[in-house]
Amino acid sequence: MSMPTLKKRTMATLMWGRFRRNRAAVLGGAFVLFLILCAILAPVIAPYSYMQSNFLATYQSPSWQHWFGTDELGRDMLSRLLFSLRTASLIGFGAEAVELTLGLLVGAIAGYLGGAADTILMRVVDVVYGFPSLLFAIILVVMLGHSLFAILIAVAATSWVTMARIVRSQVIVVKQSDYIAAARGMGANWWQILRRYVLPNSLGPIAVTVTFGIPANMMVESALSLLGLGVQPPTPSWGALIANGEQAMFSFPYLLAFPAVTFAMTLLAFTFFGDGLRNVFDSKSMH
Amino acid sequence: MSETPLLEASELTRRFRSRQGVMSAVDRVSFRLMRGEHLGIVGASGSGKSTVAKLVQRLLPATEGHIYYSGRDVTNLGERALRPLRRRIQSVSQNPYASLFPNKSIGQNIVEPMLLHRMGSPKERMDSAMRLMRQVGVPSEQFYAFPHEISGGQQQRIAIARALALHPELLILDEAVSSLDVSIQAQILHLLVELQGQYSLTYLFVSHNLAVVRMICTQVAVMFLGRIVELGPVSEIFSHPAHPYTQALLAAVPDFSSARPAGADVPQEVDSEPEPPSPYRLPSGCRYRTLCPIATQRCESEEPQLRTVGAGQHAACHYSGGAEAEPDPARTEREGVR
Amino acid sequence: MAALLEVRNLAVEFHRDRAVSRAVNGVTLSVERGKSLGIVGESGSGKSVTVKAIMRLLPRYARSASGAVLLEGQDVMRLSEGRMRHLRGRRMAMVFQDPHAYLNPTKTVGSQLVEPLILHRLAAGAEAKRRAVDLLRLVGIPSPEVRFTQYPFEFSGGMLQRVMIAMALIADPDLLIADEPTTALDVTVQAQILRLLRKLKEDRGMAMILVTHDLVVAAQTCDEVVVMYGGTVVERVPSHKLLTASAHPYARGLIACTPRISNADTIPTPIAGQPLNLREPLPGGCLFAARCPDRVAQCTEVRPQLEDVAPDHQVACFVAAGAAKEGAVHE
Repeated sequence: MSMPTLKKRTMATLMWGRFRRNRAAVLGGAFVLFLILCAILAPVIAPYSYMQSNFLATYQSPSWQHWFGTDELGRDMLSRLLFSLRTASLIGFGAEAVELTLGLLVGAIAGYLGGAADTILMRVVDVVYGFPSLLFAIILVVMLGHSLFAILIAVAATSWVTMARIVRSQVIVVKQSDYIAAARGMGANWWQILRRYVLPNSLGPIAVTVTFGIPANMMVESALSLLGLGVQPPTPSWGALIANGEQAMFSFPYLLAFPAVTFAMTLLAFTFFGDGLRNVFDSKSMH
Repeated sequence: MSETPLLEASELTRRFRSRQGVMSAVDRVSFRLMRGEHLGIVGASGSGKSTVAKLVQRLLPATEGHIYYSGRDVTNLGERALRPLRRRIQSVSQNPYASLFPNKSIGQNIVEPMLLHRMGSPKERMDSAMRLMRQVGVPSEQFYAFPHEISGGQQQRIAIARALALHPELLILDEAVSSLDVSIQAQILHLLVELQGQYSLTYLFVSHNLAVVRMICTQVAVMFLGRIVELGPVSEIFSHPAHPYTQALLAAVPDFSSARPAGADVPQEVDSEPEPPSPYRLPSGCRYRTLCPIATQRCESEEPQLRTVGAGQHAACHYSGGAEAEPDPARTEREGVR
Repeated sequence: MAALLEVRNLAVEFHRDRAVSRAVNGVTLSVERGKSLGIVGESGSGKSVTVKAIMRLLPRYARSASGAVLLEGQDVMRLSEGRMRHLRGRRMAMVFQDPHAYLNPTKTVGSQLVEPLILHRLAAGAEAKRRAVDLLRLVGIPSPEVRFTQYPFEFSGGMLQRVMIAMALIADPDLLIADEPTTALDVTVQAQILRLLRKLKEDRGMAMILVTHDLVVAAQTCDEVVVMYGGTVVERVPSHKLLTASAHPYARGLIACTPRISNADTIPTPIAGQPLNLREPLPGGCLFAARCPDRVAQCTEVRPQLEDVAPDHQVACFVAAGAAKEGAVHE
């Protein structure tokens, strides 16, 4: 292997090099980035207000004024889509952040300490895992109300256990590896071991779980909206847009097509991106 | 006996509990390792040789017995008190790829122990890592190569360099050349011999390969199911093994002299597999007796202890070196202290 | 005598993640009935891939670029998978390094042992069991009737390897291939298994291929040995000559660096350099040239082919073959 490299290389540059070669993953990642930007900049880039109805311009087909057409109240669909993206991202990323925090905490403690702590924490995880997640989310929303925060909690309430399990199994694998024994032999204390070796080497599967978790959260959010349990109108949500579009899908197919297609594309983009990540981490451990 | 041994194990025992019951992976193992000597621990898989290595490194707590380092009892030292000691005892394991930090470059792997012990400035650490790389025969230009990008032999060189970074006195080599191909193995053996002198290292060399132990070590301990059955200088034990197990072990090593001549012999009998005893249900008396060709009634009733059978050579067999040989002096000495 | 198995110019490449690994690069070898052939080499020499290719047990991403594997003249590589299944076990059978990986832990050893008999419709019921028990006895397993009803976890490593050997033999194959059968075993057990293999080959008159990284094991167990490097055969030599009169610089280097217990005062001489990286394009000349102490200009330009240095001894090296010719002229 030719390697006359005194140029600094890190694992990150190495992995980026590998990721870059996967075209689908790069496209997926770019699309995700584009979506995030749209969500953040929605108030700036949206051509109209998402709630401003215009009864002179109901059910307009896509045109230069309204790229994605208008709905039954004459509201601009592009603007509504942009703002629903904002809702979806808030729930998607926000709930994932909650899941990650909980999952890391519970999983890492259970995996690293083992013994009774592991048994107790994992029994809790098993119990939560047994809940039907959508039903549980519905119950929570009914109890807590329809605020953005309540929905976020409802979405995260059951899905953090997946993260906890993955973190735990990953920590256990890493903990038993020879290099952790080597680190102990060098005199590293438990905190150094956790921070310098266990966490960085557990990162792969966790990052992959996060990228698949975000669209899953968006799906739950949409499902809640579809059932009328999501964020309350006039705040737009993907699920609500799709539900709305579905009612008029024969006469005004674009009302369904635009939200449904962007939704599908978003899920696909996350999947490609996550797959790319997985490959990067896999080939690292393959050798 | 005026000199203090660098490492001493005294009646070291490690028991493991599992669904099948309790087994002693290491059972009352005692040995002394003087500075500048090299002790080989040999035995079949499951003999407890690797567990001994983990025990003396304090990576695994001992169930019973004591570990002395330069005369100091370190058996129950806490992790914090152990830290300075860890610097003096370093190890290289069988699988170099698994033991290197996968998220750090090979150069950074060598820097890591120095960083943990806050040795020198970043620049000094990097310089001494590069010096070590060159010393073990890896071009220092490869500082930023990652473990998975280099060959197995190179990985083992880096693992050795990393172990040397803290300037240890005792290097524990647990099957350190076993997974390497012979052409690479010979390179690493040469490196180990070279480093021995240069860093005045003491090796504890765990291996199933008797030929390699003979090359590297001055002393050898032969283990069978958790017990040391024979202990002594390499020169004595390899030329006239006293314990029947050592004899069987040496006879089984494929060697050039035993390679068959043209139009060779064909074995007449298929020998049926002798079953080694389960570590969970050891036989009474001598644990080797069910496999031993010379076992008698006495071996059933009385467990043989290590006793002197030759110049520095000790064997745990009632019938080696004359049945009436005197008991091990080292043992009586310790017993007297209690 | 015509060879039972003949491998001609076999090449195998692995294609994965857009990378190519050239595992086998033109292997030619043969075994006769009643003879045993050792295939010796270090990791990456292609020895294991060669025998897996013979058994057609390579993963899907393996591609065989060229060559033929002839079992009594029939090209195994062109057979359908169905015909191949018929061949495996009955005509050629294989023993692997790790028996645990090849036995089903949830089924008794006996039920797995009779499987080939039932599969090939050779026997069933009590007759199958009788044959299996007989075979267990033959491979040296005490109280075979009891052992027949036990599960793999109740066996020691050496014992399980004997079971694997019995399983390979049960349909009475013409060729037994053993791939590092003793590498995972302790030396005392290794010696027993090797003796068993030799005895079985002799008694049954079958052909045997033993793949091993240990030259001494090959020399002790086989009639003839091929030494592989970089996916090619560099030497083919009768086993009694292997340790004392091998001609290829790599073979001699391997012998020099093998630790010997009888001569352990000196540390063996290593072979300089690093093993060949098969993921990179192969060098044009001799694959060993970069590490070879005897290298001449020709070596980096032309790939040497196997040449006779004696009627039963071939070597793929310009220098060694040249020296042998010169020796012959002087005689």
